[in-house]
Amino acid sequence: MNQPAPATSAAEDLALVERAQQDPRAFEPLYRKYYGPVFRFVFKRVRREADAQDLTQQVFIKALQNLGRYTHRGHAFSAWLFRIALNEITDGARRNQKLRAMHAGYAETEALLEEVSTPQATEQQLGQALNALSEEDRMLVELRYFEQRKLKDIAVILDWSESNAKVRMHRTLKRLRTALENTQ
Amino acid sequence: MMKSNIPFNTGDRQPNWQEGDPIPDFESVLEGARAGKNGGFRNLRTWGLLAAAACVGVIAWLWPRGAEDAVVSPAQETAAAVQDADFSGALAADWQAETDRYTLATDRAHYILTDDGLGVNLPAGCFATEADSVVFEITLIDDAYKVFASGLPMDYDSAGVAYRFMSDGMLRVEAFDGDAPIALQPGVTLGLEVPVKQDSAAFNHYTLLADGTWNYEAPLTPITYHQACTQREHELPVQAPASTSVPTARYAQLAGWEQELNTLRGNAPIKPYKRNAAQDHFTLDVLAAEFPALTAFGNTEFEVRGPGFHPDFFDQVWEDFRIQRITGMDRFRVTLIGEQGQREFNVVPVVPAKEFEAALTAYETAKANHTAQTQDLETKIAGQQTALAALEQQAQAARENKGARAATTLLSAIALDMDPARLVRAFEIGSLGVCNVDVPIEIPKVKPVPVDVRADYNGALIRPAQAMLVDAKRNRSVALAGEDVHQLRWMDRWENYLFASVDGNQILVATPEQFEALERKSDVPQVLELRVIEAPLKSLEEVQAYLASEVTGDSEMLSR
Repeated sequence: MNQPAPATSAAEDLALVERAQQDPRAFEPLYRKYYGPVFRFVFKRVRREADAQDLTQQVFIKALQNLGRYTHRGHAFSAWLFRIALNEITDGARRNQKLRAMHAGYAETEALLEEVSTPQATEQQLGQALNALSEEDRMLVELRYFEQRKLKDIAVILDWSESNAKVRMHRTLKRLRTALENTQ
Repeated sequence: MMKSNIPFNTGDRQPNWQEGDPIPDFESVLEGARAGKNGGFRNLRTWGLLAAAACVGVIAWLWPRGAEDAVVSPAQETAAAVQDADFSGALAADWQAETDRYTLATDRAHYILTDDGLGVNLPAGCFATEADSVVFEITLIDDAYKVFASGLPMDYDSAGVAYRFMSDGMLRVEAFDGDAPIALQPGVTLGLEVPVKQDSAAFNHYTLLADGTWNYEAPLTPITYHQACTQREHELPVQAPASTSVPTARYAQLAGWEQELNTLRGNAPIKPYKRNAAQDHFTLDVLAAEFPALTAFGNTEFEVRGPGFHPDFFDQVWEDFRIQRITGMDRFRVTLIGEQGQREFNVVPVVPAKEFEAALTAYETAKANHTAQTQDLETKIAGQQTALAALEQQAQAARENKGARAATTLLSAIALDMDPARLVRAFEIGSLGVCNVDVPIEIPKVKPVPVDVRADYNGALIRPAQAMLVDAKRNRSVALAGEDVHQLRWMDRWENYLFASVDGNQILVATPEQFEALERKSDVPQVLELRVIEAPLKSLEEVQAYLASEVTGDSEMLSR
C-alpha cells in the first residue's frame, strides 16, 4: 500500500499518458491520482467494498493494457477510466447479478424526484421506476443526477455523442415521470 | 445491455476506504497488466463472502466551515442582524421536550418502558455511586420541533465532509444523586430500544461528545420489539413483570365492532315490492333512523301479507302499535294494541308501480353501501381477532417462561398495549449523555434562490444569521448559517418550515405556504417574511398548534 499522489493538471495527465505508453511505470502517478475517484465511482455501483476494490484494480489493469490505443480527443483522462470502470461493472454484473447496485444520497434522490415527479412519489417508487429502465438509461441517470456530471462528460464516459446523450436524457426523464405517475 | 432488478439505496453510505488512506501497491497493477486479462483477481463467485461496506455519508456537498459564526450583511441599511439566533444553545426550558424521571434502586436491575415506547435495560449496579438510589432521566427528542427547541447540534463532519442530520430520535439519558450527575460504571452498558418512525436501514447510532461534535458508533437496522427483547435475554437478570394480561381495551374494541356488525346486519336494506292493488294497505310514520332498512322507500306504505289481518281493523280505535322486522326477512310483524286486545299480522313495505324503478335504484345503492360497511367491519374484526390471538399466544408463552428476562419485558409491553411486532432500533450505550438515531444528509441539491429572509421584530427589521430549514414530513432539519440563510435551497416536495429564534424564547417562522409562494427560478431577490410567534407560547405542543393554525388558517394564534 502507498499514498495517493498530489493532483496533476490535464496537460500533465496527457504528458504522463504519453510517457506511460512507452514505459508502463510512468503510469504510477496517474494510478495514485485516480485510484480514489475510480474507487468511489465503482463503490457507488456495487454492493460491497471488497468488490469495489477488486474492480478498481481491474480498471487500472485494463487501462494499462489498453493505454497504447488511448488517443486524446480533448476530454479528461478520467472520463476514459470511468468508461472502462462502467464496462467492468457491467461485465461483472453479467456474471454475478448480485454485484450491481444503485446508490444515491438523499439530496440527489430528492433532486431527481423534484425533476420528474409529483410530491407524493417515494424513494421506493423511484427505485422501481429506475429498475424499469434499461441498464444504459440507468447509467445515464446515475451519472447525471446522482453524480452531477455534465452531459459532455457523460457522453465521453458512455461513448455517445453529446447530442445523443441529451436526447436520451430527455427521453429517460420522460419515462421515469410516466412510471412514477402510474404508481400514484 | 442487461436489464435486471437492481437494489436502489438512498441515504448515506461510505466505504471504509477514505481519501488519504493507503492504496494498493502499483506493482500489483503492473503485474496484473502483464499477466493478462483476469490475472491476479478473485473470482466473482467468491465475492459474496467478502466483507460488507460500512455505512456513513457519501455525498460531497461541501459545507463552508466556519460559516456558522457569520452574520449576514443586510441588503437594506436600516436592518439589524438578530443577535440571538444561535442554535448552539437551547430555547427557554419550557419549550423543551418532556423529561421522564424514575427513582431507581442502584442494587437492582430495571427495565423501563416509557409511554413513547422507548425501552431501557439497566443492569444491577450499573451506576458509579455508593447511593442507594438515583434519579434516572430520559428525554426523547423525536420530532423536528423538539430538535429545534433542544438546540442540539445537527451538523456532522465525516472525513472533512459536512452533513446535516435527519433524525429518527435523539435521546438525553442522565442520572443524578441529588444535583450531582452520576456516571455509569466503567465497562457497563445500558440497552436502549428506540421506537422507529422511519423504517430505513440508513440510520446510525451517534453519541454527542463534550466538544459538541457527534461521534459515529454503529449502523442500526430496525428489528421487532420481540427480537430486541430476545437479543438481551442472556445479559440481564430476571425481574417481575408489571402485568401479565393482554390489555382489555382491545377486547372492548372488538366487542364494540361485533355489536356494530350485528346491528348493521339487522338493518340490511329491504328490496322494494310493487304495490298490489288487490291487497290491503296502510301507511305508518316510520323514523328513518329507527328503520334504516327502509331508506329505499319514500312515504312508507305497507301491504298486508298472510293471515291475521281483517279490514275491520281500519274502523277500530287502537291505542298503540308496534312494528318489528322479522329477522332475516323483508317482512315486518305489526302488533295493534287496543281495549279489544292485541292483533298481529305481517306486512311488506311497497311502492307504487310508477316509483318502483327509482326505489329499486335507491335500494341497490343502499345495498352496496351496506355491503361495504359490513365487509369493512368484518375485516377489522378478523384482524383484531388474529392480533389478539397472537398476543395471547405470546403472553401465554411468556407466562410459562416467566423466569426469563425477555419474557418479562415482552409481557410488560403487551400489558401496555405495545405491539411486540412494532419496530425498534436496539443499541447499547457505555456512557450517559446524548445519543441519537440519525442519518447524515445535506442541504438540498437545487439551485440556490436569493431570498431576503427577514422579520419585523418590535418595530425593527431584523435578519437571522442562522436558521433551521425543517421538513415536517420526515423530521429533516437542516441548520443554515451565513449566506445559506439568504441563498435558500429547498425542495418543493418537503413540508418546508424555516425557523429562527430571537431573545431566547421568541420563534420566527416561515410556513410551507410562504415557500410555495416563492419563485424557484428567479434570480431577482425575493422576500421571505418570518413571522414572530405570539408570546408567550409555553410548550412544544403550543408551537405545533401554532403551526397547525398556520396551515388551517385559524388566526387565533397567529403572529403579531
